[in-house]
Amino acid sequence: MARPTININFIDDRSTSNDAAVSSKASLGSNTNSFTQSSSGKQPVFKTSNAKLKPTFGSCLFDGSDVINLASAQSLTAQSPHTIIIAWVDGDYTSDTWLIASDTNDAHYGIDAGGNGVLFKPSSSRSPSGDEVTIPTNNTDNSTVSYSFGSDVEVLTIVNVGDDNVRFYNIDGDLIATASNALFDSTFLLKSIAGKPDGSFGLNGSLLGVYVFESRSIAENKAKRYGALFKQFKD
Amino acid sequence: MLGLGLGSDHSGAPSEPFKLIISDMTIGGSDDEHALIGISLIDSANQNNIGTSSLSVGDRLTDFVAVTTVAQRNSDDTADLASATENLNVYYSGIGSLFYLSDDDATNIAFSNFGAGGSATIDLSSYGPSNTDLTTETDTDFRVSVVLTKSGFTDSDPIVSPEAIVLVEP
Repeated sequence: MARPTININFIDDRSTSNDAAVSSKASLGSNTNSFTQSSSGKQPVFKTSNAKLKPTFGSCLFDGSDVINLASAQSLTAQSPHTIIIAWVDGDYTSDTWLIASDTNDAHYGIDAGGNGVLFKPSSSRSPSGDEVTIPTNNTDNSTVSYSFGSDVEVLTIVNVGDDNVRFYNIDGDLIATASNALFDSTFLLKSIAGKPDGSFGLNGSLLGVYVFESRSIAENKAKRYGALFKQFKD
Repeated sequence: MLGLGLGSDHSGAPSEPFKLIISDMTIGGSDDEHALIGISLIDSANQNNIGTSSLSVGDRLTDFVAVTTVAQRNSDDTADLASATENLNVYYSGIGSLFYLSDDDATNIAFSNFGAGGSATIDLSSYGPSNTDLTTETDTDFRVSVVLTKSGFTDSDPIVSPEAIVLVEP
């Protein structure tokens, strides 16, 4: 069975009260630790409804400076594949948005300001090869379709193949970006969701769920299945 | 399925049994062994005939049955690997025309039990009269078909998943 290492699920939460500040969210994956936030000013807020979602499906509202962190980072092994699936709604990309981040070498995956590209910085202090790359998604230079992120339900599936290649898929399972660099398969120490661990570069939008699979590189047809999972919740 | 006339015509003349209509279906759940299937009704006429205004959150709809077929799909979503059909009970979510399906049979189920991995979610590892395990693949993709029935009403048309979706192992 393919069990995720990290499984953060807000969409199926029917226990948390509306407008409750989220100080802790347990992972339902093999890593059962919780993502936490002790500073009240950086705590996201749970919502039991959203105008863009069907009734009873939950979400967690981040205001661009909120973030939730693991106490001990989850290590995604070097030269081994990993897959990250993250879903959100009401995204505002006025600034760069780091969706998944580390506190080591500022490694992160994210959305470029403007919503027309994805970001990736591997865990390396080297420059320029270890610098952040911006891969445009609004053309087909490195993809099969041109795509821009908006405020509707979005799903980004990130496949780090572990052989220097990284692929990005959208909610429809379309390949929207690819990139390759000798340092892309570095160990990624996953620390935070929806922003840099200090809350900067935060998601301005509502998080629906996050899955992180170790030792897994999913194919396009599976990316389509994950997109479909969240697509059906759209109102 | 036809039964006693239960249309909204009270003139005394026989009327057609009211046809149930499902407008939407979602398949949720945080794991690939326990799914939450929700169905929505199309309009107020459906709701009035079912009587949603008198329902409380978690109430089971008396004598309603959702005949639910769950199919485990292959990776290309071109064929069933396994499928099973079960008669599920229908519970009011408390919101609008949304109902949850469950293999539970309590007269009322707390809303929270329909949450991630909740006790009221449907066990796909033992589904249908033959207790079929529909979760045998690495990443299980499903399609679902639901027909809503009740004696005295006309069965709904089947509502079917437009494409396979994946449920994630916890």
